[in-house]
Amino acid sequence: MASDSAATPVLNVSAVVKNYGARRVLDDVSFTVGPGERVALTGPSGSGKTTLLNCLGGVDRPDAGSISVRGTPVHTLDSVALARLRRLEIGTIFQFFHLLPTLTAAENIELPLQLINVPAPERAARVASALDRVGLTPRAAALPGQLSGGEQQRVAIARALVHRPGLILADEPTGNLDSANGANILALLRELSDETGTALVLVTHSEDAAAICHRRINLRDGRIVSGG
Amino acid sequence: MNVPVLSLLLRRFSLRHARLAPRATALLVGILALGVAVFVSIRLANRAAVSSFTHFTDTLTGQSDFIVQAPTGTLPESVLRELRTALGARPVQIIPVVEATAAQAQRPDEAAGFGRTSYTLLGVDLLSLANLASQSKVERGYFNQNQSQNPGQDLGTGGRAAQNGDAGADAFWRAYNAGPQVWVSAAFAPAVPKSLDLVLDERVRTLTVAGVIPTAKEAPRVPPTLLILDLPHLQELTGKVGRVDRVEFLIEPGPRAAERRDELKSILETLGGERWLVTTPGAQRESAETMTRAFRLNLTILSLIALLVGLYLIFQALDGAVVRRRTEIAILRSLGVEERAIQTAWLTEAAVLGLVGGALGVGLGWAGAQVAVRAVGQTVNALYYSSTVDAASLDPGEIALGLVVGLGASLIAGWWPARLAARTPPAQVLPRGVAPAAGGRWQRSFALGAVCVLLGVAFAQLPPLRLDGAGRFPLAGYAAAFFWIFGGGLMCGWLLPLLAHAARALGTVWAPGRVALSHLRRPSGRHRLSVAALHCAVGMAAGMAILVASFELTVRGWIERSLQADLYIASAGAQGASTANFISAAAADRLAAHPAVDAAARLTAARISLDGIPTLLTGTDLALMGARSDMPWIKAPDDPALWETARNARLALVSEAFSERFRKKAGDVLRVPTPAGLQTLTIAGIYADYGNERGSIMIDRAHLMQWLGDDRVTNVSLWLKPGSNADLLREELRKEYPGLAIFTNAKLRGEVLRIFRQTFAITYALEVIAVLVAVVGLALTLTSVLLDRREELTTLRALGFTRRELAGAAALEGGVVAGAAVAGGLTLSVALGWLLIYVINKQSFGWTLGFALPWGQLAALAAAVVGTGVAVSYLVGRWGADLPADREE
Amino acid sequence: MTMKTLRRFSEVGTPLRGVRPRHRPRLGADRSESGPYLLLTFLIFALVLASSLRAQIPLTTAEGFAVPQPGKVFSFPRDHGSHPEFKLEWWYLTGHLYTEAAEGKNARRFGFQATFFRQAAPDKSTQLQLAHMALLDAATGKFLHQERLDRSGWDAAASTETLDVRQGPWSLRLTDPAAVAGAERIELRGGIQAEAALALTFVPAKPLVVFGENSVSRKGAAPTAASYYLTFSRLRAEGELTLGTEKFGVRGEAWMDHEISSSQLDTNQVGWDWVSIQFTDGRELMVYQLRTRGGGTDPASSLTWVDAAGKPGKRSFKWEVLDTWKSPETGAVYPVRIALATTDPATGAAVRYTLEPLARAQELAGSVGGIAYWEGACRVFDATGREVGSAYMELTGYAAGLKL
Repeated sequence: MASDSAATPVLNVSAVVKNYGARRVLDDVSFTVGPGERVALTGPSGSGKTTLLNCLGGVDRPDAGSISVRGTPVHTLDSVALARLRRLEIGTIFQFFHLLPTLTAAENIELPLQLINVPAPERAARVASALDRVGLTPRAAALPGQLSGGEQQRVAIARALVHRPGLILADEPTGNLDSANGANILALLRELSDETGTALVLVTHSEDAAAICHRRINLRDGRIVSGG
Repeated sequence: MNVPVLSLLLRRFSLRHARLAPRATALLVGILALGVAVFVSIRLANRAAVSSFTHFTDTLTGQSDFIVQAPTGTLPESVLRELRTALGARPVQIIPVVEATAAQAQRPDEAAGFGRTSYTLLGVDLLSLANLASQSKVERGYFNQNQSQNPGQDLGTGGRAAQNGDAGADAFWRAYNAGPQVWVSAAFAPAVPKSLDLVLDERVRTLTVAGVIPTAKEAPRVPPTLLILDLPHLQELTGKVGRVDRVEFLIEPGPRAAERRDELKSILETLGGERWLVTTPGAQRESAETMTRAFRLNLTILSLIALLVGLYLIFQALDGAVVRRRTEIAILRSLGVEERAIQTAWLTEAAVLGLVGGALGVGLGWAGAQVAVRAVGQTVNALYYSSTVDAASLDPGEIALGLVVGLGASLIAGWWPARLAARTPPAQVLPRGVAPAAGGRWQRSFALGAVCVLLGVAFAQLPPLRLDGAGRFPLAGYAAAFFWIFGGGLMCGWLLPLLAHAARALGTVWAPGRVALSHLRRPSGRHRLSVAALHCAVGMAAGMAILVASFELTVRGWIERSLQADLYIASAGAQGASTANFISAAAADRLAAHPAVDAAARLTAARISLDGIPTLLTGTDLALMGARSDMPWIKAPDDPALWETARNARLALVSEAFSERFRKKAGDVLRVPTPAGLQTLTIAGIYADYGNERGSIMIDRAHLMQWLGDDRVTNVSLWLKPGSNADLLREELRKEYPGLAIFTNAKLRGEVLRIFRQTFAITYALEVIAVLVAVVGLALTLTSVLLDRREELTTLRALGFTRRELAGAAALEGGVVAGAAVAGGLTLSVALGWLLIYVINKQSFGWTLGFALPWGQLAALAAAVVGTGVAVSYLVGRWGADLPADREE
Repeated sequence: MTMKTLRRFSEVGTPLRGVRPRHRPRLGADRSESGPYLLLTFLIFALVLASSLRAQIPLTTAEGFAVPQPGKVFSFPRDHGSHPEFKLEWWYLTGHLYTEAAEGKNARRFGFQATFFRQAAPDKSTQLQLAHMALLDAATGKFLHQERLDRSGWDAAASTETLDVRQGPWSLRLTDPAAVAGAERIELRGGIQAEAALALTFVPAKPLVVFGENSVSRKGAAPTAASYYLTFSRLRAEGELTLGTEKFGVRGEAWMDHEISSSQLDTNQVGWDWVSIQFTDGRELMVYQLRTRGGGTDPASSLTWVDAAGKPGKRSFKWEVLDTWKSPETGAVYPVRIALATTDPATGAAVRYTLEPLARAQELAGSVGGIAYWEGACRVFDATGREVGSAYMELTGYAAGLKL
């Protein structure tokens, strides 16, 4: 699907600077992501990808510059507002899945809906459809430990999308999967992003992963060297 | 053992981790220290209480070789001459002693009550005391103390020396011939009072303080409550003219001491026959030790609870550390560090923790002992004998013991984690992301728990262990308690999923709830341990509360039945179990003859020794008791002859404690030594008496007076004529007899209950400490759990959980753990309460108690524990919410 | 002579003129500087009485104690016993003991002292008893001594019927009170802690000597200054002596004083020296000199011979110090080796005797009574160096004070 940088970008990153001590990890990083747009963040190890992603998710704070998600400036929010922004607008997918080991697949997926106080009947319906969409309806009651890596990542994707955020931040979602499973996950991500119109920022090393994106931003030593 | 590797592991890893997490390390050391401290302080306090059974004469004479005492009552002075004649020219010092107790007089505005300073008055011949070898180092004699006013130092002024000398001689004779006067401990200095107002029997006597008890520099410290009088003065003051309480013997130094001692012993025994008992100070101290052994053992065991709870926590903390440092260990393993080195390093870490905690604990325990000693001392005073303990001291043995306990506890707790650490596979094969469940499989075994509980039930049926000197120790009872605590702890873990299930609705409406409950559905070993520790503490505390409540209920009932007279009168000198103060027969008669008095019951109590075991022989007017009093019977007497003085000379009642201690039932025959010879008595009935653990024999006073040759009275109970006002009469009598403690019925009941509660103060304190440790442990558990769940915290934050929600989840988790522990603990407490009341208490003290549940206290305890658990967990959760994402992963 | 020495001496008691002076118990168990005043009380009375000299002898002292009266007829055994109507009384035994010479071994020689004092409180409410025991092993020079102080009662008593004085495990008594004069048997039981034990029996070898004029021994100018003074100048001793773990059968000779008085003191005296000699020829000699302030000798000092029949007779004498010994315990310097020059009443010839102590360290440091003095066994040599007898010498008033 073509990129459509319409009136409000989902994500607006402007002149972000981040230092760790004397070391400049991010240097004047600026870019925007429009609704439904998929952007791959690539670059060698230590180029600042993960730091940038953490800043985008509000887990880390930039030293200078601004980041806004759907017009809300991330870097100025207090922790409560940040948490609210995350639960409403952002879905996160991790390399190591990070499912809550004590919750079943369905419960993991349900959690974001609970956080935004979706009434129980609607929650059930949405969880069921999410499970169905990632093809795991039969494994709804399984605990993460009982799921394969690919299945776990599909639960994670479902959890990231179930509350219909505007933006998904994914950190090497296929990094811990074999190539067949990885391909499946990438396909699923693309389809869901297309279906829901959710923007996706994908940190990856993988060409396959980058390939599902509309655009690629290449970082080196904290600077955007291409695709900004 | 590869020492360099071990040292590397300790320096680079263990030490560094401790430094990186100073607060956690400090907390751990603190918990261990607290556990050790409680144990040490109770031990020191116990020891001080035992050693405070001072054989007071020791401070003056050094330790005597033998003591001669009447089986009950006093010895006539005529035995002294007889003894000297029998000993002939043998070089033996014979020291007659009169010992008495007296309380500081109450001020006119002071209400009657117990707890005023109680002194031990020791009467010895102060002149011949100088003949003892041990006194040769004393610089100043008894009768030469007040000469500082006209010192001999200025004798250089020629002929005036004579005049000075005259004044000095006068001072000697004045001091020597002065009326009753006391010498006090140097502890009074420099504010040595001019005089002391003391209650001796029913009179208040103002005794001049003649000076300070002279001692050699290296002599043992004179206890501050010891007062010394010249023998004839104390005899006169206590109505023992011509009588002595005991005679002590010191053989003179020189060759063949052992042989001469044996010879002395055999002469004393042969000469005495049934008239007296020959003992040694050592034997007397031993009997004091025996007397309180059960009480002290009980305290020691209670003091170990905090340590036990602490043990859980240390296990938990070390285990958590192993889990968190798993990657590090795995890397070390992949680098080729062998399993043994890792295990040793972890055990060493535990050992260091144990030693540091132990050392701190010893210090803390010593400080605590200064407080505990007072509580222990009060109980000992109230129940057993006069103790003068005011400070507990440490010695190298106690320090070593404290360190060993700390070390032992930490090694036991550290053993499993160290093994776990050693079994960590090398990094290459370490599966990522899945933390191993802490603890072994046995921790999750419901069956093992059930077996333990059943074992406990079996042990609860066993009889007590019999100690020397009629002491009993409910070993099986304690074993049962242990099994119940352990088994209950195991089973309690199973409450977590049940509670989580019960609260599952909460999970559907509140996201943090879902997260929290999900952890409890399949609780980790850590959760189980925390529940077990808290369960143990709550169970013991609530169990003790049940015991005390039951005891109190029973004592109240007993008081109501046995205290029915309107006024109770005793010498105000009586302050505890051991004090022996009397009312003269004349005063008792005057009290009984008061126009407002309808009837008066006199009671006389004499200490006796039955088969070498101390107990009490009391005499009362049985006819009056039968008519007026509602005795709380355990086994009511059938024989009506008991109530008639003419027919009850061979009958006795015994208290339940006596029956238990001496294993005598109704119908059994007692052989009681008295100054009038051996008396054979048949037990007619058994009554409950919760005021005296040593037990007592009660006979008709008419016979007791005859046997003792003593008509003094220990206390008098007055029934008033209808229309008389007890309070007014009390005021009247108090004015007339300032040396008497006069209680109205209500006041005495209150006083008895107060003493009763005071006796349990220390046990309460120990329980509260255990509960506190357990709550701190809960916080530690959650901290550890949250540290294990860093990843999860990151995820939850990524999902949009706020700090408050994360803290809420932790609070719920902690709350459910506390709830499960409280539920299990309360169940345990009922079982322990039953055990304490019907097995342990009955076996150690011989008291039958009813069973009462102090609902209010239990509810308060439950609420407090759950509330504190929730609050503490919330705080830990807030802290956890701010944990930075684990960059290592 | 320092004032302190004076005071020390005064504590001990002022010599009783005309007879052998004896130290008396100081009351009170302490040995502090301030302790010794009791006996100084008597000093005051002495001063008062001395100032009101009267020829007539009063029946009692100002305190109400009896005063020795001339013409007193003694009756025995009653007068061997206690006289509580008098303020002071003592029984004083010293002697020399020998073991049997076993084959290859010389006889062992011992000196002993056993003293019982009685003193009444000024108000006569109490009697106190002080006793001293000492034993010297001449072979080793080992000197043991012990003191006891007790109030009279169950553990200290003196009979008023006969000689029967007890204090703690120590006793001195007539075994058969009915025995006629000259046939008395006196038994002493005592010891020094458990280090030594004495079980001795004494039989008079010569009749009892009553010193003084007309039964009264005058002690000074004051009319109350007098005593009854009864002495067995030679007793045959026999019995058993235990020293450490060794037991010896012993025989020997002893001297026993019994003196009764009600206090008489003189401020001018600082101490006295006293010697009793038992000569091998069956005679005895008793001498004392009273040392006055400023280093002089009181004229009341005297020397008395007791002839073989027991008859006393006075002679003049000269006392010469040959050597001194300093006590390491009290610091006192005692003239422990002396020479006595006098006239032998049998021959009228001038004689000079030298007294050699069997050991120099024979000081009783006064652990209970507070008075340090030297009381020691001596050998007696004549001018030719021949050993002519045994002696006991008492040296008082030399201790400046006790080292504490």
